[in-house]
Amino acid sequence: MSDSIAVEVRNLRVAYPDTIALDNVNFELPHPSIMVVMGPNGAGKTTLLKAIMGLIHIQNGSIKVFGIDVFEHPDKIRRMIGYVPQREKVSEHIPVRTRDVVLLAKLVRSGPLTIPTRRDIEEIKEILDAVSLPRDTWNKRFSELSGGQKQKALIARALVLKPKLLLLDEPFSGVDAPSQHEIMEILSDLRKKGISTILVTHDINPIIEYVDYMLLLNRKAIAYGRPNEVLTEENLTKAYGMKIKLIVHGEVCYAITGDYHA
Amino acid sequence: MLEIFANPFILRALVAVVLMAMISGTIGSFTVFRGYSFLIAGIAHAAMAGAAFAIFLDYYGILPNMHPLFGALIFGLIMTFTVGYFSQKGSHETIDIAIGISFAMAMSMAILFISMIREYAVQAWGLIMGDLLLLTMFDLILLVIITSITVFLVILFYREMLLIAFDIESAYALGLRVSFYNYLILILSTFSVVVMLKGVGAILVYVLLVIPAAAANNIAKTASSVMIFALIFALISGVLGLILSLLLDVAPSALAGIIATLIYLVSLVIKRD
Repeated sequence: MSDSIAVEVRNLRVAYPDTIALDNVNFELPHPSIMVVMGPNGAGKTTLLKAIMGLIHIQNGSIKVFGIDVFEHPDKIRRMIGYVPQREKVSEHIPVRTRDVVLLAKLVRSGPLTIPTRRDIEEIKEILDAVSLPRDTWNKRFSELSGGQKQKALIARALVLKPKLLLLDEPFSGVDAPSQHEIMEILSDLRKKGISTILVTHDINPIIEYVDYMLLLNRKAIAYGRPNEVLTEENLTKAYGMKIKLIVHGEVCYAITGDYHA
Repeated sequence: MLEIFANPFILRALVAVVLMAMISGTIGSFTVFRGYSFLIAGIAHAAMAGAAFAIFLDYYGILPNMHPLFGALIFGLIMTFTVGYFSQKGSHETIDIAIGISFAMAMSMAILFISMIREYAVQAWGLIMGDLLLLTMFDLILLVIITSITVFLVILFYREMLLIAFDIESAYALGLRVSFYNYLILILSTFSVVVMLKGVGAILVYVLLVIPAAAANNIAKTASSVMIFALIFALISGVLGLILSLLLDVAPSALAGIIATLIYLVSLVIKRD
């Protein structure tokens, strides 16, 4: 098993009956690192995450996670990946306590009728502390948490299964700037502990200092590399189909992309 | 007052109410969690059409002695698998349209068959209105079997079903067999509706299966307490409906429906506070 490369995508093509979602996507993500996938709506960002988990059928190419082909060994891959879906996909009308959100994932993995041990409960508490979720929120209904707290709870749930790779789909939708930084601090700590992250976002600016690699996507990979290499006016115009202004501050480029969120 | 419980009709009705409350607590809760509550009404009407079809086949000697509940089960399952297929493949709008069209089709077929079976139509109408006091020992045994299987499977797969209801994308990512659990809930719902049909009728089965769970979902703090509250609310509606029906000499299922609806309205007020 290769531990130096977290994800390797080669000539990836994904097509739905009426459209091509991804075509000729290539990249190699060194481990451990934080990578951002950015692009307009319908660019294939979520499709890429699902392909990395082996959840959708691909027409061409290959995807390896830590050297293992995702379609040949789906069970091994699922044990290495922690997934945080878009928050809007979570059914908040169901009353589930925050700590149960995390515990549920652990117990489901253990099989039906598993009774949580004292060690399981301790582990849940440690993880909730690690994502700095205040203790008074642990027994609250998930729906009662703020946007940032919900995101932290979902990250905690992904972490309880001890993944080596985290996939986050639009974790900053409805999350204020201070919480975005807190979440990036958590992901940065995880990187130090040997966990890589791929996250989809519409706006890299508030988090750019934490990002190692960036994929600019619009069905095709427009550019991949370090953020300051990828964030050029030419690449952004190719991805978004309109002129995007760039402000260079020190070694960091800021793209003035506005709010593209649907 | 107590001697009325020695009456076998009333005793059977009471046992049926307890069993139905257990179905409401388990499957009712998950239909609310999964957003399948409208489907319950659809299955009930498909089952109605199936029962009428079975009586029709019996009446014309095509399939003599076919039990109406068997027809109800077949039609209910056809509807369940149709909607289940669309829920895997389609959007929410597609599922709603699939349920709506199947609902209309089922009701039209039910009325068509009822109009063709003349003097036996009363048997089919009995399944539309339902009557707790007319349950036979056979009906009760069916209820016991289906309730036991339903409660056992929901407790066994409670966490898997809850995770799928709460966050289906993560359930896929964890490698859960989402289709299997989806169909399990749908099939258990169909069996539950069919065995409740004779007791509460096709129209009110929705009221007793879904509304207690919907009310519980408004006030409970955890998913497991939704199931307990749903059981209690269904029990209150059923038992109170039965007692009042004896005092007022009206249909027990109708009173149970009214009480369940009142409980739902109270839960809405509590939720707002």
